[in-house]
Amino acid sequence: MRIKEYVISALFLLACSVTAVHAQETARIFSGTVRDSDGKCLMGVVCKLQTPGDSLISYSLTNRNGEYKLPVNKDAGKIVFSFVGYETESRLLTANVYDYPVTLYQKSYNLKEVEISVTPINRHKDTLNYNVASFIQKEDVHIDDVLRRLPGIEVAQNGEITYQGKSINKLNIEGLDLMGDKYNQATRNMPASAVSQIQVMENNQPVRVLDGMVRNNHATLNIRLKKDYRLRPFGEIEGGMGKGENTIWANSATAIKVSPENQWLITGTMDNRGISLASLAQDMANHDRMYTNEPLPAPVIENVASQPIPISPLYYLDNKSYFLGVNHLHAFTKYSTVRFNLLYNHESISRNDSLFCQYVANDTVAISQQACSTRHSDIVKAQVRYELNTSSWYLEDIVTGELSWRSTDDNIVENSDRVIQDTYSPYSNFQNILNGHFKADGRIFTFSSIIRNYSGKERLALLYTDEEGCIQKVRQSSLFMRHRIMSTFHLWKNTLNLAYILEGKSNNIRDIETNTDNRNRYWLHTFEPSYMIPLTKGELNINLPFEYISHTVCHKVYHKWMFSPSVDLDVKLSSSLSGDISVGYNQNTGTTEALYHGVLYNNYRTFTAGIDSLAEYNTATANIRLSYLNTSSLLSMNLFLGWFKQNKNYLQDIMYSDAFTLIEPQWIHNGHTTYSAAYNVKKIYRAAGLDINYSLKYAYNSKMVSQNKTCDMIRYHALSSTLKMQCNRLAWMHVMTTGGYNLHWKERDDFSASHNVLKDFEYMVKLDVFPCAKLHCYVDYSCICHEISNGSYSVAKFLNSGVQWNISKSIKIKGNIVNLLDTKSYRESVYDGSNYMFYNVPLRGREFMMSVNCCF
Amino acid sequence: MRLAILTFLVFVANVSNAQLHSVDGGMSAYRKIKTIDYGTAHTVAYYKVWFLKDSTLTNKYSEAQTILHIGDCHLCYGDYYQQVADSLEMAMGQNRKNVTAENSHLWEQAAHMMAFNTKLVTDLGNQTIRAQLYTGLKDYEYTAAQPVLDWQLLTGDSLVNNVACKRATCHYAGRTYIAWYAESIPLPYGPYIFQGLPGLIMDIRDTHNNWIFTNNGVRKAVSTDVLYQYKRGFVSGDVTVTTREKVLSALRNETENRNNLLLEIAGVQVLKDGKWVKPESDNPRTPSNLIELEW
Repeated sequence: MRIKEYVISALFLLACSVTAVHAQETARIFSGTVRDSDGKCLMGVVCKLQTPGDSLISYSLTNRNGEYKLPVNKDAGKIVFSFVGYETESRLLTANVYDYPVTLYQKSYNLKEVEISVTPINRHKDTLNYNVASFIQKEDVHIDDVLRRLPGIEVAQNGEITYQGKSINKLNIEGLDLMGDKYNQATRNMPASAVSQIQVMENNQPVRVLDGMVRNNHATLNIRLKKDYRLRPFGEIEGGMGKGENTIWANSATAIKVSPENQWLITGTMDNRGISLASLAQDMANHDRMYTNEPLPAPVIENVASQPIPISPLYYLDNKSYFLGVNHLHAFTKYSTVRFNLLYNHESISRNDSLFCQYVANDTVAISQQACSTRHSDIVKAQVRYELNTSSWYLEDIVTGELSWRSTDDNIVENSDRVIQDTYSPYSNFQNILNGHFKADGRIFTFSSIIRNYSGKERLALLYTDEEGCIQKVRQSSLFMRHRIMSTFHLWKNTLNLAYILEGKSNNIRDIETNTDNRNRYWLHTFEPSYMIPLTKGELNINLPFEYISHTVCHKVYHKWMFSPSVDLDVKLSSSLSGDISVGYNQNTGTTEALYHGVLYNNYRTFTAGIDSLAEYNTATANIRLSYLNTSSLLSMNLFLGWFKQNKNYLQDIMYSDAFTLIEPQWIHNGHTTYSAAYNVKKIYRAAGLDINYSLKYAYNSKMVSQNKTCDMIRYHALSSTLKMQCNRLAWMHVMTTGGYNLHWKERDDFSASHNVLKDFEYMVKLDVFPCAKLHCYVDYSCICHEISNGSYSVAKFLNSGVQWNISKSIKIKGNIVNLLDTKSYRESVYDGSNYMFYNVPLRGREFMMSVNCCF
Repeated sequence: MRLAILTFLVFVANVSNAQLHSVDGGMSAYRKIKTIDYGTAHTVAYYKVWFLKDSTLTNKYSEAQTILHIGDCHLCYGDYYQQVADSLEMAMGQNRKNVTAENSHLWEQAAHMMAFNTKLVTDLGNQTIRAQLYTGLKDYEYTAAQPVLDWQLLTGDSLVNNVACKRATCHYAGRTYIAWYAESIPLPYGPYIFQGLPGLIMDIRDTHNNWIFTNNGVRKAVSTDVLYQYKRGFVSGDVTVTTREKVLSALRNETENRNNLLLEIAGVQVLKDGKWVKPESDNPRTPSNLIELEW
């Protein structure tokens, strides 16, 4: 019994002592006073209790007397004391010591991490603001140059802008749509120094009556000007002249005025340095215009030997280009605007290309062609647009008139035969587009309409050395209309859109010489239900359009029912990651081809037999797009995976011979399959002054080819990889390097027993030097290596340099030398399906130019 | 009639605005700014502020550029453009030679950009704040204890203005805030009343994004970076000094009931049955979305 009492007493005492020790530990604190080297108490010092492995346990701040208190913790290994302007001190903890006074010693400090700057990108809800000052570099001239640097934004060569892999729906200047679908005129001519912000309004619904009711998954860009540039005109004038083989010149003037009621942008350019201005007359892609977009009839006459050359046209294009654009917008009220856009473009191009083609079949045909060509094209386009955009009504009417005339003069020597080919093709095109939306009883009613009249003539004259010439005159006319009405309904708490589309087209191709008409017309009725299911992180769209077409082709009438279901899932997986998955099946008929009976010349050696029956297409597609944009780390990525399979009921059979090429339709079912993948990543390391842009593309095609009575599936691959790096860390020197590698190969087939692998690679290094504030010098070197045949490479090297002296803020003098190495020719070879082509293009040689630039 | 009154009120408001913002009242009579100085700063931090005046209009943000002066014993936080305008005004008030067209233009621009109508000085020793604010109608001032913020350190790393930051959260006056602070800048301070983290606050926003403060610059101070407040109020020179609770109540009331209060201040009368009478003060209340939802 006594022993038992002792044990109980001992256990009780032990328990009490453990509790006491524990209570003592939790009640104890580490404390002390923090002073500077003069003994003065320091207030606001950050005191961190850390483990030996530097993990933070707790922290406190010193009070006005420099005192701190930190609760004792068994895992604690040290206390770290830090304060701006003082050396950071740490004290290792010792057992049973709780008082740790510290003296901090002053040090010169440098807040190197943060510069006084605006945030590069900030986001408010669905609007991203890119502050131009954070991205602009000294060598950037126009806002187009800055746009190319922005993460998440890509600018194509023709100026078309995509945001996170999708085309934008419009580009506004200070909230107003001055340029319409020709916004590249603004981005390529507006001085970058005038712009303060680029705003990207994601999923922007520009139609106010649809705002909050109909989702728009494309973005709107808005250019915000610096205050100094609002209300007053600004722009630049540049004039330059130089010498190469011929006299060269480049002159341009741009004036912009932006005010809340009136906006003007007038730009004029003339250039013969190899820079084509034709892209300024093109419409940029706009998803919002899908119901009022219809391609113009394709011309019958094609150019001779016009291969696209994968080098800068500065080196090879012998041209004269003129462009004039006048754009004006007047805002009657905040919601009512009228816009006038007028443009004129003249292009004159001389080419002297040598082409060697191998048309592979059982009996391979080889053609050697030397074409000395002069081409002229003129286009005048005028557009008036009225828009009323209130919260209850939307009305837009766009009237467009277009006149164009093209002519070519080709002197061709082919396999020692000579032919002179002249063409002349004027056409006119007038169209009216009407769009409207209004709200009634909480329901949206939408209508859109396009009516277009096209009329064009094409004349081809040929003169042979050993036989009589011939002439072909064709007149194409087309009347097209498409009207759509739509209303929204609510079904099972989601939105159901019901639309009816009436589309009609009447085409005629008249052979003027024989007075033969080839009329065809169709009426297409579409009932288009689409069901939208909003999800927590996106939207699911199900489209189930039924179509009925009555098509008259060469006096035969065809009737056909079609069904084209599709599903589109648009998701926002996180604030940085968004995706889009679409799957669809489309039944279609040939409503855009030139339909005629008989044979027409395309050029001196190519004839095409017209499609004189109903062409049918069944297409299945599946696409996945993922976009990532992190605005704090300035990292953007896009991934696209696509699959496309088309079956059609005819095949273009091509007959190559030494004297001619004949293309005629064979009415057999055949297919074309494409797999494609594209990935690009853009990363900006601001602290290191490094921008990296990498892209990887792959495409596989499989399609039936029939030529010279040999018919087989051909399968070909293309892989392309490009890396671009820019280093802007040093204020006085910027370096840019670009490297690319391309690989093309083809699988074995009846046309070729080898893989026909061709490789090419290229790189470019550019150095921008700013020795003083007013001087900018640059030099760039590029090398392009193309495999002509197995193991044999054609190498082209180019060296350019230039200098710019900023005499004052508004006047600059520029001088540059292009092609300093005086490279005289460029050779390239490609596989076009089953055929092989090799061409040789003469280059412009060394050229020197001086110019003066005046900004206002 | 209501339209006419509102038109008049807009006119009155614009005139009063113009009076406030006129450097030269036509008589070269510059506002003599009398300041209370709290010494010079050793570090200056800048914060861009985005805020919703109406919490239901979630895409209509207003912007302000603010500045935090950090001294040994005090912090001073207020509108950056207010400070620019003050310095110009003081310079022009001291010497007429400084009254140049360029300075006047700069002053106009700065005055136009002011958007954050509160100037706070925090006494770090006593942990008190002295706030001066302008409601749009009147000047107020109060002194109160620095709020104690219940910071919880959270996991999470990010970059704000290219500075590595860690995450923390706290509750203040009816809102929950997420803050990102920079351990590499050991200054336990931040915008407005927010302080007490083991590093400079680089970004702080409430969970519904009504108020967003994002750092857009930090620099060492120079000798002209002085911490100050106004002796005679923020704008009008006639300041009401009272408690924090009363000032915040007045601010909410004057924001929500601005149109009716303007009727009284302007002494508007309308002709009714041949007599001039005071109009009904029944204009609808406008929403307010103060930082403090409760006090």
